[in-house]
Amino acid sequence: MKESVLPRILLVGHPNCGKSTIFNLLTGGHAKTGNWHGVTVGASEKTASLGKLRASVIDLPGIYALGAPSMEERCTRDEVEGGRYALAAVVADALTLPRSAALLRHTAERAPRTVLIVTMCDLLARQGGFADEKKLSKELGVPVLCISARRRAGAKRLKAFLADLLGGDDVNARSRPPQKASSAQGCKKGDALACPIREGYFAGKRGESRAERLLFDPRIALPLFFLTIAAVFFFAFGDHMPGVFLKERIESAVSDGAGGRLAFLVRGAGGAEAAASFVEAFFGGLGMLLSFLPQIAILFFALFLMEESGYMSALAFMTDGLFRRVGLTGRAVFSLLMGFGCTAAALLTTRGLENERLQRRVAFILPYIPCSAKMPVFLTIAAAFFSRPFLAVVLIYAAGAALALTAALVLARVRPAGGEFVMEIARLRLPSLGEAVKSLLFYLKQFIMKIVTTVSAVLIVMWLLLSFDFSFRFVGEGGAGCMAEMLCRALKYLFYPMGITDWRIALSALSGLAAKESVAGMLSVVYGKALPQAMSTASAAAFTAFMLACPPCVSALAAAAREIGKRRALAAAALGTVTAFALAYAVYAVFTAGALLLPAAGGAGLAFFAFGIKKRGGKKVENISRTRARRAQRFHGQRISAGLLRLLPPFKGKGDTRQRKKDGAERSPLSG
Amino acid sequence: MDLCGLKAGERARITGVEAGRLTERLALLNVYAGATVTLVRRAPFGGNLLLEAGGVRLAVRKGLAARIFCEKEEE
Repeated sequence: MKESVLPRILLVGHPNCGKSTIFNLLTGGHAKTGNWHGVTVGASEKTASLGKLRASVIDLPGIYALGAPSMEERCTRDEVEGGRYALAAVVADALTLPRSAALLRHTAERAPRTVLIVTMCDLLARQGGFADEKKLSKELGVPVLCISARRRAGAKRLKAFLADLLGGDDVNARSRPPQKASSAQGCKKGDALACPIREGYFAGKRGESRAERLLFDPRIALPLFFLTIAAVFFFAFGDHMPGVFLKERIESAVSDGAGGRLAFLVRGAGGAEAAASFVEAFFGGLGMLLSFLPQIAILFFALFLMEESGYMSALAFMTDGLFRRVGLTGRAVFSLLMGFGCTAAALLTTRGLENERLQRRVAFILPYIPCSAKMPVFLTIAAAFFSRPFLAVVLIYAAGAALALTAALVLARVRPAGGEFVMEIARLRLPSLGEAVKSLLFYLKQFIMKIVTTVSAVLIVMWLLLSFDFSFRFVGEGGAGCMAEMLCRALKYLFYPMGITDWRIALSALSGLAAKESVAGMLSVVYGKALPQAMSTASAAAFTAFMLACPPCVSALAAAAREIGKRRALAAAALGTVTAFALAYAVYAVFTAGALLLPAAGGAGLAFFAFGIKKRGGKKVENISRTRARRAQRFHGQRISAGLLRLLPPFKGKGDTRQRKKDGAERSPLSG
Repeated sequence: MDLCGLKAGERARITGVEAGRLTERLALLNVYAGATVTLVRRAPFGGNLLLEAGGVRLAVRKGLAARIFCEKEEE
């Protein structure tokens, strides 16, 4: 039977109702499931075998209602209203069935045939509730099936149910006659709200389990939050822990093992030095990229378990009051703190953040957090210039964190995170390890395909710049006269205000684009122990500041591009470079001119900041008026809540109706 | 009164929701005029309110809770 002839079944439902589990059940697929919103983006279609019948099942993005505006939801609405399918199956969670009643009604009004599949009925029974298929079917007017998707018996019943509805040549005769929903009178026409289910369903009572009560205890939640982050961090990035261990193993296996051996073969066979060098560089880059995998896997796995079990949302809830003051959430802080280990991996963990603006904000801030790859640079400089290198490094890290915090506060002012949001707090439950592993493998495959390819391309270009001169003659990696050298001889002028005049330092900074560890490597190759002679202390401090704020390696850039889009990632990198240089110049100025220059530098810094903020707000004319209007409202709002408005005459005019509504809202707590 | 006036464990019937574009989202989480909602707890540091409505548990910030009006229900 050709694919196009198969009957199509649409799966529709709210997020987190087990829709993707049903999809996987029917098709044996590995659609990524999870408590995150937007996990299923875009429809996925696969064939399922329902006993003797075969059908094509489409898993649509989870939606809240068919009238909703977000992109994933529009895709679902288009599919449902398009009508090129045999059956629309609304999947609902037994624990929150009334919530899906409105969605069911919407779908039933638009689809040729609709059924309701209620999942997690075992959990419902466990908390003393029940769902009666016959009564619900009569109440809602569609065929209803209640199963527990995790059990084999449930899967069997599901397939039989669907086959029965679709099966046979004469599909129309087999279909049940359309029933008038007996609850139709309860729902207001065209209203998405208030569609109660009166018969056939009882939610049961469920008090909080002991674990939940512990988790929601403020004395436990906050320390537990930081302990969890520390544990995950340590597991992924700690010395001798699996993350680092595997990272080093993979890197040496691919770069030295495979790359080295291949290069040896090439040289032995009389190949050109350029070819051998290319092989070494290529496998070196590949090794570095693949070595990211273990740490990314650990972070992803940890996050998956925490999100699926409801642990993360509980802790995020408890810590939200604290982090909201700096414009972040608990989940965002997790991603930020992982940045101390690896910026690229941390960027990839921002996927599940509560909303896009927050994700962008975190992606902008992350480069300022010094990743572990910057550590060798700091250590090299600190060891050369300070009598207490460890203390110096600690100070550097503190400075990095302070920088990130400042960035967070500035961004919170300039681009607020778009108002309130409502978070659903999942119940604590045991996550499925099988799903975790499947999701992980899918995710890693995506990483390899997307990021490894982009970054490899960039690395090859860098190798070309380093190994060939402008007449495309091979000069050896970093050899005299290579294109990179010419480039850095020009770029070195950017480093002059830092008191650095050697172009090789510019080169080492450039090599940091590939991997931050190379900066330290280059410095030691070029200067060895003679670093204090090459740079003054002021320059060293300035260079450290530069390293602290400069944009991260190209892998992190690729990760950022994947999360927030290419344009924004490049903009963030450009901004980061500019701030890095500015910061370095400022540090150098402070160190050389001493305390006299400090107030002047401070004033200049503040002016730059203010200019920078204004510039961003005024980029487009609409932005200016919107920002100004917003500011005016807030200002106005402060006046109102101070109670002064009672003395001022009310404003007239169209724009002010919006303000007045806000006034009303602001005033009600006072009068209420 | 609004939700901010509730104490942990108290139940209330919602009389009005003024949440702009979030009103529909709230309704689909069982928070709409006429529905019963329980304040399970408040987060520390002046944080969010954890509500339970028809089996669904959701967290809202204080600013939003102040715009959900209700009447306390006697036990």
